[in-house]
Amino acid sequence: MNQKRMGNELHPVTWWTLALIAIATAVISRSVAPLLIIGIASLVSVMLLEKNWARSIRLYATLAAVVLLTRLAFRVLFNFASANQDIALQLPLLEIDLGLGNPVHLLGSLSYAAIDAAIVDGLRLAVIILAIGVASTLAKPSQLLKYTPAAVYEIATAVTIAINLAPQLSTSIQRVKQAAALRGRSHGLGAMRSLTIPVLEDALENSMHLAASMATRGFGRTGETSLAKSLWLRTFSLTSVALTIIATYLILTLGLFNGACIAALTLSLVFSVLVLRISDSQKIRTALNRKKLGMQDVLLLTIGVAFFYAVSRGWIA
Amino acid sequence: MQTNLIQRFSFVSLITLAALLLFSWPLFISAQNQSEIQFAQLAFIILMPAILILTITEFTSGRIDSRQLAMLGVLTAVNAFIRMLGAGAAGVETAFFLIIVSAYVFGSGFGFLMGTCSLLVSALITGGVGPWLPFQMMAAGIIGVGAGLLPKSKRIWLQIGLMILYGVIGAYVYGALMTLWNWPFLAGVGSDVSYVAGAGVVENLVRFLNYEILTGGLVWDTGRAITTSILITVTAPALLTTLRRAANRAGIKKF
Amino acid sequence: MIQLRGVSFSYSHADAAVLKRVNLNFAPGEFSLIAGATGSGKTTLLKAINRLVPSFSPGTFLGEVVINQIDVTNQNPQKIAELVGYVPQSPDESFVAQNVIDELAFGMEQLGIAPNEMQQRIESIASRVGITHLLCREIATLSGGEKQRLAIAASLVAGQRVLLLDEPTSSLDSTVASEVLALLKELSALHGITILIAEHRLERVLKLVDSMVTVHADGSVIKGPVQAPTTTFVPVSKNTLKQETPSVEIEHLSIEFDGETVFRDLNLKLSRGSITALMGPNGSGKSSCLWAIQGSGVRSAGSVLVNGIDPASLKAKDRLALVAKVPQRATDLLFLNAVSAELYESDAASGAAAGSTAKILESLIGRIDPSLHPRDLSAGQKLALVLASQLVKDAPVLLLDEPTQGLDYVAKDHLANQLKRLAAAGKTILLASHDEEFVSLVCDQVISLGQNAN
Repeated sequence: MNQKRMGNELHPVTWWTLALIAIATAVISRSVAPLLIIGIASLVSVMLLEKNWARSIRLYATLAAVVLLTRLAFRVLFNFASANQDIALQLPLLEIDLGLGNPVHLLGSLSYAAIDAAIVDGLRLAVIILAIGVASTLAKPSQLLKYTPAAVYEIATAVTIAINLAPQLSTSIQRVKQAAALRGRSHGLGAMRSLTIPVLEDALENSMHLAASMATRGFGRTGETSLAKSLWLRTFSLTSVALTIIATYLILTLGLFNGACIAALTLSLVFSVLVLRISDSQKIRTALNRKKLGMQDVLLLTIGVAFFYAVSRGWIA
Repeated sequence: MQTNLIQRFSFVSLITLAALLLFSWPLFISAQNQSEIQFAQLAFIILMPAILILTITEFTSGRIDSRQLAMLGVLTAVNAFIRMLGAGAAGVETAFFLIIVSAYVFGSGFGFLMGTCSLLVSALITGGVGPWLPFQMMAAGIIGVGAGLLPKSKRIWLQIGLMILYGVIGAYVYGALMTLWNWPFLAGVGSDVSYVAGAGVVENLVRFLNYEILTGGLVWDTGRAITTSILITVTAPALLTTLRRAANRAGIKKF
Repeated sequence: MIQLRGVSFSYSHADAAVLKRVNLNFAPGEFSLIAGATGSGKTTLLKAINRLVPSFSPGTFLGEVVINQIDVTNQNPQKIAELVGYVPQSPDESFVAQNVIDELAFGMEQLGIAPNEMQQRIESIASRVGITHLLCREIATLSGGEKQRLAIAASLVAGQRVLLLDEPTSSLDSTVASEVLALLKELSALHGITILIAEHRLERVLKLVDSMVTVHADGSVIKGPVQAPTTTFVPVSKNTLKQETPSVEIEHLSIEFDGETVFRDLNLKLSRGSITALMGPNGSGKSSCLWAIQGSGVRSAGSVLVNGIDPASLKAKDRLALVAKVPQRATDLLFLNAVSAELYESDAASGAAAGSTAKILESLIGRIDPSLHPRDLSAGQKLALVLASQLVKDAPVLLLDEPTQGLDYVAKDHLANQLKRLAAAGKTILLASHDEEFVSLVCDQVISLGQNAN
């Protein structure tokens, strides 16, 4: 199933980091050019590296197009003030009052500037979606579960279990459905119960077998957490969340580039990393076959960061 | 034990507050940094996953054993599967009833994990991974936490009634949170339904409500509320017995 | 290697003790069979050794367990993972990862074994268990026997010297089952691994094991020399078919899925009052054949007539009066919270007088406490409950899919008598099974699938 990927030797984390950089760049860019570059680069990398690229990226491409069109449609539907601007399209101005405060103006005049803005905004979202689509095609998110920090290992395991199990459920439901018909009541709410309860009972029973099998192979064997350590953990997570709240509040009132704001943001991220580090350190777990970042990973990431920097300085516009 | 509970409570309230801020920032943003909004959006898109990971760590690290975990995995799989069945038709959202019922049985920590994992897994399976995913996960997680905190009653019909009521409220809250998330992206700035930086919470709330109504968000929310309450009504009596029986048999504790 | 001293256990949801003052001793490299009726506590005994009992099943535990001179009584299963490997009843439910190599690594990752050491151990266990060629495969694509080997490898890969297996062959056909058992023999004889295997199909295991432990219903456990069970089977001669008008006529029946032929051109006549077995290896189409006869399964060609009517031509509901069927997992039919509710539902759904199903159930297996949860019944009781709910519809033909799975000798004996009585009363019975002993005990005729398949 995973064999169809060709020539994709990059580390899965690289793809996702690149996607994050692409998103960051898209968010800060104010013109079409950088967005188009990201979009085209995304499409090209999928076409080069994924055999079934058309099928894998179709969903994301459609979604991106829908978002772009929605954004444009909203531009036309909701009236945006367009004084002193070249008018592209003059539609009758409607007024709707929902009884909530001011009436809402619909349609009306549509300026070239408004269309431009809508295209940039829409494209930005479309590109974000596309970038994530590419990352999840080239490095399946389930692969990424292997590289999650040890602190979220448990949840990654639960997610792996769920992903493995979900397809089996459809066979299970088929089986129960066929069997339930033998009872002779195949309509109404009873039918719903006669289907869901056996499937769920089976699933729960299986889950306990699974739990037993995991435990007997050593799962959950954390080193004893000392009281002091767990107190530190709690304190640090609380601090981090509190700092996030403060940072958010500061961004909203003072703006992002205020010193206090940046300090709070950085500190909150530092504390988050500390929390992850401490909970990592209690575990004795190791991992098989973890890829390491290679030269080409570093190279690509550098290009990504450089591109972000160029866009942020307005060199590409 | 007592201090533990207090810590847990303060943690959950702080998380909820932080998450709500990250959803509803357009309502509060002040006038002077209209120009920096793009950057602010970026900061929020990165902060949300960070908070999500912190919360998950708080609820799992060293506190979850293999039974709870396997139960979580299996129920998540069931939920992701059910969600796929319901996807497509407008407003039909079949993921919430199982989150609510299992959170009610296994506690709010389980509810949070169940909410986040369900949406994550169904996104991973159907390919719906996007920048909205951390926000969806957090919103569903909050719904799960709340369901775990619902008061326990001796009478089963009262338990079910409570869950239905909560399901309806949760459906609208989830819808509102997710609309809040896409609001600045889709409505932009400058129309009568866009947010206005510095205009005050009430003014912006009115604009948001107008947006929610005119874009049909309320219809979806209503659809979600109806499906959720029907599913709870139909399945909860059997589900409660089944889940509680499973929990007792394996000695699974609430968390 | 393993010592149990004065071990007693009772589950918190039941009063009676499952194990009572058990004293056992196993030498290193010993291959021992744990026998006993279903529900007698074979699984509990295994789980007491690896501490899943009492830590995963709440209850009262007394006594001491010592493994490799280490007292593990107060440990939980994850703490002694490197001492004891455990293969639960159906391996399908015990896999965590998506592919074979990750599954093998899982246990070692938990124990913190260094990555290059892991690689070595995986290679060595894979060659020992014979799954080297499977390392890159996804688990979902493995066959039953391959999965069982993987489960064994996964529970020994971290260097465990003790292996506990709970009915490892119950879902395998006989050739594969023998291969797996031979592997276990090799592991104990050549590599000195102490193996305890819980089984209730003894015929294959008896000649391989060094000792035998019997778990009795009263909770006492006795270790003794290997001894065959006392039940003797008298095979029925195969040509006692009653010359009557056939009640089921199958002509040229073929089944294919996704263009692949499962079997082709099956011709079969079942006369009234006969018991017929459908045998064949896993995947030969036994279940599909039963569903095709019942009318709701796919048929790609051929015809099926039951008393002159094709069940497929009837509505799903009307079929039930013509053909009754008990599927492989009887519990798929149970969805209510109490036996009494299931009985009531059964009467209501089939339009029978209140209490009819209960009466049939009692005639099959005696009284069952109606307030019990159906899932808490023993395998034999569950089967009887489902059988009763199907018999109440009074169909002339009864189809059973692997009815003996999970049943011990007593329950099987019981089922055999039930089926013989039903046949004597005029029912036509067709059962799919790979339990040769049982088939030779009750069936008048054996049909083998899989020989003419291509």
